[in-house]
Parts: sequence; structure tokens; C-alpha cells
Amino acid sequence: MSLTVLGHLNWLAIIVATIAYFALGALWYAEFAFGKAWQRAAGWDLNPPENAGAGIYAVPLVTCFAATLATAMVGAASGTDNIMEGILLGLVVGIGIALPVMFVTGTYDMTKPAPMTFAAIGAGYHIVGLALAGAILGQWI
Amino acid sequence: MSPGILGDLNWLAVIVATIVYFGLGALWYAEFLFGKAWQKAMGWDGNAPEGAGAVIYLVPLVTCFVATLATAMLAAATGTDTVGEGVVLAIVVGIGVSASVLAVTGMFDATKPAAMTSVAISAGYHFAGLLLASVILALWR
Repeated sequence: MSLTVLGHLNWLAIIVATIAYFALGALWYAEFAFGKAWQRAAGWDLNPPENAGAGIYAVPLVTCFAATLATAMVGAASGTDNIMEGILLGLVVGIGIALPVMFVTGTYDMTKPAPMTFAAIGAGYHIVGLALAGAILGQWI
Repeated sequence: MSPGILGDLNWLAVIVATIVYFGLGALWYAEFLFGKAWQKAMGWDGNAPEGAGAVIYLVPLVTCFVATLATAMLAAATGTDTVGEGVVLAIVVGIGVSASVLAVTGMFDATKPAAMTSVAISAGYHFAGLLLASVILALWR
């Protein structure tokens, strides 16, 4: 694939897919979903981060945009143009890239109460979020 | 992107690229490179994990294989077959997806002495490793 795909992207679809992926995070990490288990696994209940501020929203928004843009570039370069191909693309990126790098990082984490639970909840979020973004990008080219 | 892509892969190239990506880790995390800084950032100094055994090699081997396989699927689906295209694919996958999910995970990591340093070292490793894998896969179809 080459950088010329940047000229063939549907930027409105990328923005909508980014927002969907980001917003899924608000649900995924809410107390009624995985939030409580995640905070316990992360060791946040013992020492929650201080004055996190706007970064707590700005950083995930930027990383969701970067990952969605990457997915859209591969989608355009591979001729992914329907919802099923888009979901498959999201799963290849999510299960194939996001999951292994988070899993192997968790393996070496010695400071958290439950590093693998922390990694599993995070990887699950990115897999579902990228599949959702892939579905939007595949359908709306 | 369709599942049929699995039939178009050069599996020998996937295996060789996996070994190169994995082997880079032995260098990257060696004491003479980023190993010392990484162990300090991870909070390992003084209490290295006990009885880690074979898992410490097996898990990265499996995760390198999964990420290399995903990269090979994306390379085949996007017709990536030159060094330049391989580099672009590695930027998209290694920075767009891998570095993004590692960065946002590190952002919420409250237990490590220097979470963002460990993220930078790991994200750098996965980008460099995926770059080698992607170029091998692009040239050896």
C-alpha cells in the first residue's frame, strides 16, 4: 500500500467511526460494564491518578482517531467496500495487532493487582471498537 | 479484505518474519540497549518476576506470530510488494494501531514508576519489529 490512499478516504466516515470507537469506551469502562473490574485490575482503587484533567478524554480521542485512520487507509488500499469486509478488517487489526501487543505487555507487568485482566479488558475494547469502526468504514466508503 | 486471503500467503515468509521480529526483542530489551531503562520504568528492579520460566519466551513468540500473520494478511490484501509500500504498511500498523493502543493504555497506567517510558520503549520495539516483518513480507511474496 502507498500513501496515495490518503487522497481516497472518506474523512466524514473516519470522523464518525472515530466518535463511535471513542464513545464505546465510555460504555465499556462504565461502572455497569467493565469499569469496576478494570479499576480493581489496574490498582486504581488503591491509588487513583491525581488531577488527570482533560488528558483523560483528549488522549483516547487522539488514539482512537489514529487507529481509525490506519484502519481506513488499509480499507481503501484493500478495496474493502461492504460491512462484512469492514468488520473482518477491524477484527484482523484488533485481534491481529492490538491484542498481541497488549497481551505481551501485560505478561511483563509486575506492578498491577491483575495485569492480564487489565490487558484483556483493554484488548476487548479495542477489538470491538475497531470492528465497529471497520463496519462503518466498510459500509460508508 | 476477505478470509480467502489466507490462501494467498507465503507461510515460509511469515515464519521467517516472525523469527526476525521475535529476535529483535532479544536485542531491544538487552541490558546494553533499552533493557535497563525498561526494567526501571516497569518497576522490575529489585523484584524481578520469579519462576517466569519458558512463558517469558513463549508468549512473545506467539504474539509476534499473530501480529506478523495479521500484517501478512494486510500486505496481501493491499498488494504491498515493494520496500516503500512495506514501510508505509508498517507505519500504518506499527504506529497507527500498535503505538496508539499502547499509548492510551499507558495513559491510564497508575502503578508503574514510569508508564510512558515503558510505553515508548515497547511501542518503538513493535514498530521496528513490524517494519522488519513488513519489508520481508513485501519482498518475499
